[in-house]
Formats: sequence, C-alpha cells, structure tokens
Amino acid sequence: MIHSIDQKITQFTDGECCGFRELYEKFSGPVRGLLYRIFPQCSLDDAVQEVFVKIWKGLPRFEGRSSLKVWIFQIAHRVAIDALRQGKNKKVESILEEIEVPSEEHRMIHQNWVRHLLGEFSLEHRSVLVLFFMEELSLEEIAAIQEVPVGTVKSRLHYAKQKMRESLEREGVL
Amino acid sequence: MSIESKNLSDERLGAFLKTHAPTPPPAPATEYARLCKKIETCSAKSWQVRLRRWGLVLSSVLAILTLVAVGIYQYRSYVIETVTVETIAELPSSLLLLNSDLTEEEFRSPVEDWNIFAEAVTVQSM
Repeated sequence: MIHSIDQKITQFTDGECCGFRELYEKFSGPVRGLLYRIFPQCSLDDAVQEVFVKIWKGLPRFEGRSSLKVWIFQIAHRVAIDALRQGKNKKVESILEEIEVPSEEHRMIHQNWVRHLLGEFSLEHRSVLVLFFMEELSLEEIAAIQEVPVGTVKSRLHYAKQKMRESLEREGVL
Repeated sequence: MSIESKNLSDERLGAFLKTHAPTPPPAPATEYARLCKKIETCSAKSWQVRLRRWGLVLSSVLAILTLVAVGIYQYRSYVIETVTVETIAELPSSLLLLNSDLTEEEFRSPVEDWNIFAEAVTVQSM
C-alpha cells in the first residue's frame, strides 16, 4: 500500500513530492490555513490530522480527475463540514464571539478582524470568499471543492463580495 | 447597495482579503509523528475490520454449507422412508412377487386392493 501511495504522489505531483512525508510538508500549511480561515474551530490540529488520514486512505483510489490540491482541499472541506455537523467542536458563533475585535487604530491590519468579519458570513459564502480571494482558486476548482455547480459558486461569490464590500465600507476600511 | 460599494473593485477587495488573510497558529513540531501513529492505528484497525469481514463471510458460507448438507441428508431420508414406498406402489406386480412370500396366483391380477399391497410391503420390510 505504501508503495502504491508513493507512486501516486510522485505521479500526481509531477515528481515534486516522492512520498507521503513530502506531500504532508507541502500541503499541511495550505490545509491548515484553509481550515483556520473557513472554520474557526478550536481543534485545528486534530482536523488537519483527520484530513491527512483521509488523504492516506483515499490516495490509492485517487484517479487524478482534478488536481491533487483541489482534491486535498475537497477532503479538508468535507472534514470541516462533518465536524461542524457532528458538533464535535464548538459552534462557530460561540468561537467567533471569543475572537477579540481589535482596537480602532489597529483593526485594519489585524487579521483577527478579517476573521471576525468572515464569521458573519454563512459557511458557503465564507468558504467561497476564502477559496477565491485568499487561495486564488478558479470558479471551477471551487465548484469541485464545494461539490456544487459552477453557477452556484458564481451566485455565492456575487452575494459574498457584495456583503463583504458593505461590511468593509461600514467599518470605513475601504 | 451604495454607489461606492459598486465602485469598490474586485481587485481591491481581493488584495485587501489576501493581505489580511488570517494566519493559523503554527503546527506543533510533533504533528507528523502523531499523524504517522494515527495512520498506523488506522491501518491496524482496517486490517482488523478486513479480518472480521472475512471471518463473517467464511462463517456465513460454512453455515450455508451446513444447512445444505442437513437439507440433503433430510431429503435423502425422506426419499428412502417415504418416496420409496410410493414408488413400490407403482411397480409392476411381478416385481413385488419376487420380493414377497405371496403366491403367484395372488399376484396374477394387478394390485388393486391396497390391503394386499400393504401386506406385500410389510412382508418385504420384515
């Protein structure tokens, strides 16, 4: 099984990664960032672990229909949704309340404030904003990750952008 | 939505969000080792699950085979004990004559009377 996983990793990263450890080193940061931005949950370390266990289990069946990055993000997305549904972690709302809103003079440069703003969005809209602007993925890639049609992604993105603009203007950021 | 909102381009919004993307806290240094341990446990568990599944399949097959064997045995007993008697009833009387102590005259006509036949069978079985 290890041999087959290593082969897959080499094949689908065009030889950039040769084993699971390299794959972990390459993608653990992006996965961690994605989970942190989309799902403000306390057990971030556990969620990342769960994603990589699922990657380990799923790699032998991965056929390369999407890019490896999209596939990994799709797994991360599912893990986070499952965790939220099962209520393993604290509810998003309660966690967001705990995030301190920075003072007026610092809030524009304070990342927690953006995180707090994102927390005002629904899961779908937050996710689409993060994937589009922060991860710089295409609409098609986001559709694959969220497992919805591209049209749905466009509509979610339109609404999310509009709401974010309003929030930023309300706060006098832009 | 205000006119200003509309004027705020996607590029500016994107640049702002990209610059201020929340950064997660750094992962503990032992995360990969912990992951390896977790994967090992999962692999062991998956083997246990596979073994359990195979055990279940094998025991099911054995149970089915046992049932079939018992069925065959029961059917064989039924054929020997019941059907044979019925088959004998359909045999020509000359064959019954060979296996009975009755005289030839008693079997000259076909077996019509069940009592005579029953007597023949009883005699044969004794």
